[in-house]
Amino acid sequence: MGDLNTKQKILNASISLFNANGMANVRLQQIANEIGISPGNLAYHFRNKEAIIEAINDDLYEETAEILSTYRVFPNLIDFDNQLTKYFTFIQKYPFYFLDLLEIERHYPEIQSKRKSHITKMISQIRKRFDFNQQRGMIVSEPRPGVYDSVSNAIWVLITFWVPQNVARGQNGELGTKTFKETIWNQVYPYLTPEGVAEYNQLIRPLLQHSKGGK
Amino acid sequence: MDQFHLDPNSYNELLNLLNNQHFTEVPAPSGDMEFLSDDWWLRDTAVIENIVRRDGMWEIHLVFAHYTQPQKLIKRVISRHTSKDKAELNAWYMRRLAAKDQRGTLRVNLDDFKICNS
Repeated sequence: MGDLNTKQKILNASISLFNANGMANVRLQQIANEIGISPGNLAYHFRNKEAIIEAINDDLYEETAEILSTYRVFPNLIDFDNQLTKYFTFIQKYPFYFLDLLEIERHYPEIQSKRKSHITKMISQIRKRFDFNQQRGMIVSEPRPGVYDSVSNAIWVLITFWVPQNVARGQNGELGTKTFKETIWNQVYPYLTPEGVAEYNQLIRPLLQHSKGGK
Repeated sequence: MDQFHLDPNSYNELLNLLNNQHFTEVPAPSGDMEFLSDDWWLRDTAVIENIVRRDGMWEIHLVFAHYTQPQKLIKRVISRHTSKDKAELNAWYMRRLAAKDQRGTLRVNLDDFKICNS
């Protein structure tokens, strides 16, 4: 039990240091200092930084899979909103995962290949939401072939690059759930039918109004 | 553990099925569950006890079979005992209790099963 706790402490400290300094700039010594153990003790639990990254990656993979498993729990627009809340929590917890995209791509191909399988699923889910809600009469038929594919991709880009664009604009941490979700819902809103707008006003607008953060 | 991989086309099909479920699945008629409360036929059943050894214990199973249509039957696990003798004794009492009927003990006629021996 003691071992488990130390292991978890190491992982938590690594995540917070990765988030603060970037994956490449964190050394094992820093992680050990952060939780007040010796580097030797740390090496007992994780032989090197790669082993720590691998363990964090397993957690990341599990958490992303959990978010993806929440597809179509509710048969209305709330379903997407719930998933957006989960995505936002995830990107807040692991900003380094999105900020160090190139670093991960270059040095950790294993992480990147796992990430790719999730990216495909994520975009597919967003795209299928358009089909589902169109069938429900909440979304208009596709104005031109390929429009919903593009919007789905754009939504994925917004989710994935939310943290980097925040940092680039010097708004680190200022843009909260409300702005995040509003920005994404605004991609969908133009395609809602009058029934879709009514459902949006009834279910989604009150949630956005009560979300934290934003302008 | 090796990662399970689903190709994108299959994944899309899976999502389509999930979407379609909403439009194709309709609530079943409430009558479908009436068999749970419709237990009057149990008055006309013969009771047969059965002892089964499972997980180191002796389980008493009572089989209730309709005395004119023995294919209509229900089996229930009643209790579990550590010794076979105890289980047999309890099973005998339980069967007598369950089979008690003003008309006398009802019995199943083997011919009603219409078993084909060929």
